Amino acid sequence: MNKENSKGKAVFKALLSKNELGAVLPLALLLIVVAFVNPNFFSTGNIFDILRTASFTFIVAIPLTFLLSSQGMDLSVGAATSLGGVICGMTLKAGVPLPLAIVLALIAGAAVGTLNGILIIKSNLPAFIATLGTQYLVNGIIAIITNNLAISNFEGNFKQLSQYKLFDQIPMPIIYAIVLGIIGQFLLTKTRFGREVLAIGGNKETAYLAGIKVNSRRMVTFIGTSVFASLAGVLIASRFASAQPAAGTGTELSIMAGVIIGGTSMFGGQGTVIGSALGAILLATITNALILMNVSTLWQNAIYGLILIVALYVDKYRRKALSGE
Amino acid sequence: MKKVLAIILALILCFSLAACSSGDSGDTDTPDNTGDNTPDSTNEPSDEGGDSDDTVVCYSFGPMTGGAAWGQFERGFMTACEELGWEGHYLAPTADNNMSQLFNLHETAITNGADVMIPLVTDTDAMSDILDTAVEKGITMVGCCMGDPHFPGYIGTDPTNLGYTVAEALVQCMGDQEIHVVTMQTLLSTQSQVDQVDAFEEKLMELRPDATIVRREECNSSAQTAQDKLSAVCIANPETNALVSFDSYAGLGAATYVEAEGRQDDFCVIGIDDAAEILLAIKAGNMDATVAQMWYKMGYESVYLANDVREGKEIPEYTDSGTSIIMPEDVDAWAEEMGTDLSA
Repeated sequence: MNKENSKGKAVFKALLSKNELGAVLPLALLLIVVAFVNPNFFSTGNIFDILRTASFTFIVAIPLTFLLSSQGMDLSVGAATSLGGVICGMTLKAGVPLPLAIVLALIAGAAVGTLNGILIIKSNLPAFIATLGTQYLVNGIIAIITNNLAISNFEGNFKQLSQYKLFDQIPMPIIYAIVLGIIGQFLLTKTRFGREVLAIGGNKETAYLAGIKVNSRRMVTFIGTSVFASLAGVLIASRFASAQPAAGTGTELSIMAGVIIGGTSMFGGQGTVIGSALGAILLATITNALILMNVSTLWQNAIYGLILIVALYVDKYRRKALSGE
Repeated sequence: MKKVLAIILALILCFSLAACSSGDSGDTDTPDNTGDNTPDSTNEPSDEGGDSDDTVVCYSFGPMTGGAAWGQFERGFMTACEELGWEGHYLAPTADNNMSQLFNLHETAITNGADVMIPLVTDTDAMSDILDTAVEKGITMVGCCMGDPHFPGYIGTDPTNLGYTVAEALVQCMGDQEIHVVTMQTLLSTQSQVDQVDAFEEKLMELRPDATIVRREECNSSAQTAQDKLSAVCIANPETNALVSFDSYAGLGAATYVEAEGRQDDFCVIGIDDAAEILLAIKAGNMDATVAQMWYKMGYESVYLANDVREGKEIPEYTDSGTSIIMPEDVDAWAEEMGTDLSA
């Protein structure tokens, strides 16, 4: 009996040690419920729909995992997403070849990230307010250059970038997200850069004394976040064959919520790209599952919020139990 | 590095000062058509409304700057102000659709000495105090989109007429097929859209009593959300074969769904407004029709209605700026008439 008990405790502890538990548990519960209510949820088409939705969020969540792990934060990712799509759209309309248009969009994203880095790292401004300022600035620039009009009717294969389906089944954004996710997880867990980012998040001063180039590493995380957000913007523009000035508006907080639910600490020092993927999938699943269960839209926001709170509680409980408090 | 930053900040400050000083000329003959988001600080506040000179200062409001619909409204409004020699200001929140900011902008206009206002009343209770103040200050008002006892009349797309027109467009496009339709609006809490959808359902039941409303959905002006939600709705309710949008991004998302699923022949999408991407979706066969509201006319005529009120003339309680159904065969002519560029 004692042996069984200790085995159970060991399994429980092993479960608790997984950073991703906060996303996995609510996701599993949701899947069980929706499977009973509407088995169509598990149709191939619906699964790929959910994964496609999650992939746009996840592409931004990958560098955001690094950023939050290093105690950073960025409220301008939505604006950078819109900017990426708009710059790509405008340059395409001007006759610039697609690869160059994408590069220009990414450069615009890098400029946003660099500005954030200068404001926060060099000028020591609080990240919350500084990136909020950048968000307004970038959204303002977008409104000025587009007059808030979407850019559409592109020549060539721009649409194929997001609309093409591998084997006639798998939307391309899922493939991009998987590839980038694998690279991200490798970078975070298997490279010196990843360890340094986590060390900075754990304690900046100690990291500095240990010889880590704190400022340059943090700068990379800010630039990377905006570049990936711009890339997501390009893919969204391709999905709708229309670069919308507000494509990323309002997405920043939900993406951050996905990353945190996935097990990345808001206070730095801990991060998991796999967890961020699960967080993104959870967010995409909630809306989809609620519709499939025929839950009225009036209830959806409340239930969405509740599930997020449960996910955060699970994560909090897990951390507390692990620390033995 | 600090020195470089200091120089940059100093330069920005110099530019700001230069920009402010150039605005002192009070160039009322050439109103700014680019979307003035902030009231002109050179207007002296006045207790009775109006500037000390004879130029009539007129403010209008929208939920966003630019855009396919409100951009046209602004152009119409500015053109009419220019024709009358008025000083026109179009104000919009920095965050699109932010209603509390929109209310504040009305207060700002009053404080800045508006003679005429075209208030955008989205919630009559919430705006009651603001409109009381405007009445006390003697500001002439003509409403936009919704009526209110504080002003003698308003111009807009009548929600009932719009809902009816959308229902007629759907029935026309569906022919004899069964109708199982989803409605999608910006937010379920937007009262004017709720009225439109109510009217749509009423008319649809009158025209096609066998039709079913599968769901009322919202997309928060996100084409992504619209496509994702429509996908899920179609899985939950496989009989769904139509979507009518009361938000232009809902139509765009639905058109993308139709294209991705290859459902051009068995799924009907009725869009709203006449943005280039909507017209292109119709041309591509991913959308069946759209219902265009006359935004330019709304902005333009609102100013002339206000002028009539100032001159003591009576105006109708409601002026319908009208709607028009655009079918695939109408797209090119419509785009040409509206000056919409559909070229690649």
